[in-house]
Amino acid sequence: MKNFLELITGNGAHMAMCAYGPAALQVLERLSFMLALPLRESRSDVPAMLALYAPEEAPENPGENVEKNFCAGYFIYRQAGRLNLVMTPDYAEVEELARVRFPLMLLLMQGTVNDLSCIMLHGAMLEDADGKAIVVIASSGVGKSTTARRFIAAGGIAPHDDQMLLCWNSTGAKDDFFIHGLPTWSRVFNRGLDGEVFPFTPRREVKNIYVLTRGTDREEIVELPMAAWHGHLLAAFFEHMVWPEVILSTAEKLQLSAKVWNLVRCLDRRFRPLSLSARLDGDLLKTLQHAPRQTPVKEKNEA
Amino acid sequence: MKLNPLVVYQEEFDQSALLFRPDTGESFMLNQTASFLWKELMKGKDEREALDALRAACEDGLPPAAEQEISSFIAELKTNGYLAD
Repeated sequence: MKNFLELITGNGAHMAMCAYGPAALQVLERLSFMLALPLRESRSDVPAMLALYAPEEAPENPGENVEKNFCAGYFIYRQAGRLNLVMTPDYAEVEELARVRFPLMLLLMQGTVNDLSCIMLHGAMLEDADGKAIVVIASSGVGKSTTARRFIAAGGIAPHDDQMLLCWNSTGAKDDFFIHGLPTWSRVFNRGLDGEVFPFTPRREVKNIYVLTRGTDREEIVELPMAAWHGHLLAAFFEHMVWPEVILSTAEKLQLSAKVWNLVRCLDRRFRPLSLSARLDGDLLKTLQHAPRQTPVKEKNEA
Repeated sequence: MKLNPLVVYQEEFDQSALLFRPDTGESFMLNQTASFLWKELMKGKDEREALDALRAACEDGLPPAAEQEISSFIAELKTNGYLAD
């Protein structure tokens, strides 16, 4: 039976979820369609980190209940390194978008918790001329979507505009960062679950990361105070984790924060705190595609 | 005064600092003075004691508006959930 969805990240990590029962399988099929990843038969060498069960397929001992009530139409249990989500009897009363989105959020957060060197990121992905990713992060309402639209209008490619998965390889002093696409949930909300595909693959190497701000005089890349850079990075990482975090205890949330802070330090070794100070009348394609690869603060000082 | 146990405090090399709430994704930038006060609150001091510590640390004394500004800062921390009470 093809009830197994596997996400293989740019650093070689595997995150998989499986489904039991027609209603659970339908959720998995929705995700398979949106992410353009095929459903497969279960693999013994890749344990599922998350299992979805239709009410009639609920296991006898699903594990420790980690939510007193339920979330997005699921009872949530933990069992030996795996999350079991059992659909509530009245799951159909919960909006399907929430039922589809929540397991994916949980799976991806679990990847971070399990030290798979990956994390969800809220931002827009613009493609450089050589196919590398320019990542733009910003507070809500500053203009990420507008920036993506401007980039497309100028002849560029902006494949993703909401949620992405950042993953990394750290080998000695060198850190390589890759990014995968995830659904733009506002578009899914507007067009329906079968309306658009947001391919998870291919992975793209991250060339530059910018915090988007509104420019005053002209469109340009400008330096950003370190605390502001870190604040924006943390906000971008936690934007999509605030929801699945409901299953974590206070101690686990603090552990997760420490992991994310370590990642921020890791990003500091590769990227410089820079802001894209954007103006609607600027030449965005020229500003971004001609910008050199970011170098960290330390590297420049040493030079 | 009780600090939200989830709040992450990080000092930057330029002596500014950042408070972050992983449960909401919100952050709060602190200048050097605000960072000093937060560290005093972390020691368990109340608003008055934190102000006294700041006064003791400032050789030239505090400007007249300092007390009011610190009260506003503490109130903002409470409003934004960094302090529990």
